[in-house]
Amino acid sequence: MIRATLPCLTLAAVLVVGASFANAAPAPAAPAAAAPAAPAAPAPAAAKVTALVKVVDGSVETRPALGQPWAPVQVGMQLAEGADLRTGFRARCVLDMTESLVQVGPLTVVRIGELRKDGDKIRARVVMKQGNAQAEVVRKAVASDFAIVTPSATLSVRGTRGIWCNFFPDLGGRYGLTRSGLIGVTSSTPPDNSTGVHPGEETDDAATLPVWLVAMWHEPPILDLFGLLPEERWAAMRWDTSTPFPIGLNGPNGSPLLGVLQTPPLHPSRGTSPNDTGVKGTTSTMYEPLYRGR
Amino acid sequence: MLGRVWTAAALILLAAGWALAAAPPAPAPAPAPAPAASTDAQFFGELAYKDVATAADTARALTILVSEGTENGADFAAAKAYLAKQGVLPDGWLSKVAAEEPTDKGHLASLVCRALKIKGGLWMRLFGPQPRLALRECAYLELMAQGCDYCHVSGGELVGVIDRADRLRGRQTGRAPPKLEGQPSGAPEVKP
Repeated sequence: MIRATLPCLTLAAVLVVGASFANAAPAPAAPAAAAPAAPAAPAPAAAKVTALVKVVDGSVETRPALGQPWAPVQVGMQLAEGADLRTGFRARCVLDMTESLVQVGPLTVVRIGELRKDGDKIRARVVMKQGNAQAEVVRKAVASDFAIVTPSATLSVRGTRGIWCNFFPDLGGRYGLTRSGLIGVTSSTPPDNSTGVHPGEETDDAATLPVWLVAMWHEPPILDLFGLLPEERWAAMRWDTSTPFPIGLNGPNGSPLLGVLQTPPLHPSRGTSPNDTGVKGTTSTMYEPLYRGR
Repeated sequence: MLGRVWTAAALILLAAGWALAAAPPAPAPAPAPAPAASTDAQFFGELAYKDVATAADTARALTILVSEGTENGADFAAAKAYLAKQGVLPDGWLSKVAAEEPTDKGHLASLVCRALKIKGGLWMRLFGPQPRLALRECAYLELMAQGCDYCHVSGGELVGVIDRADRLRGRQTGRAPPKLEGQPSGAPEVKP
């Protein structure tokens, strides 16, 4: 019995070892027909261009990308797409982006979100976390592809040359023109308002009609629970007290009523989806770290 | 035989210990260089990401505002001394709190009103820049957003308040912000 079993076991062991070697052996070369098809010729990528630093006043620092150390900016430096800039008190920096001249004002954190040559025009997106910026855009064609993007609005150029914007968290944004023309301000907040701004006018993050904004500033508040504007309704319901309400009961302004009647936030920095940056007109999620953290 | 081995081992260990003891002591680590005071660009850039601005942040930002950028204000005590010398915090909130205390809107408004010498309306002229009155005045001047005076101030909001306060002071003193001049390199040539 043992004599009959031993050779079988030996043979089985040899087979197992052989099978394991066979598995460990390199796979045979796949036939040419089964090889994956060669990748198609890549589409002509948009050529990246750089921004030339023309003027530096005060304390201005830059870093080439997220995670890199900050370094002082000097005149003549070339800043590529993805570079961050931050300026100090009464500081400014002027960038030449080939078809646009951008002045980064004081107390500003911006990123050159996109800067590349796409066909016969240069696509430029200046992403601003906060601060002041002003831009002069060359009007070569009808469709210029320059925009300043803030967490709550996008300023696009529509046949104008000079635009300015001022945005700070919790304070909101102001957008306007430095020369004649028309710009489009598209709000990131529902319902995606868009409005035109003429010289001397300005609009805010919600792309409020400029004449409506002037009316809000200069008209006396209406103490009416059924007022047209949130400010009108809030004027009647404002709970002006220095005593905070318990957590959970207080609304945005300390009023217990406002917690119930709270409208969508005025300056949300993000959309609803994790991948939604809340920024319209952008094609990349590279703006997100600028808004969320260092 | 075994005794000799033990003896040799003991001698080797003794020699090693003596060598270690006789070795020159490792040089003391050089004192770490004092951290360089951050630039105001770094300070304001990092402040923008803070959820709550502390009293030290407020003192430094106000020092930069009052001194028009000539003082750094990185040291909390020095910043408070400078602000006290400028008359910004006479017996005020900032002179009593710790550096890590959060800043609230009312006290920030009070400090801004003192820094810019804003007189305000009737009640503020009578009672001084109390937090509630100062916040109303700052909201009227569009320096701050309306809200409760006990709400904490975020870092970004503090930076915005400093920016707007400096703009207001510029309008009062006739200092115009620098204009953007020149043409981008891709501009078409102007034909005569």
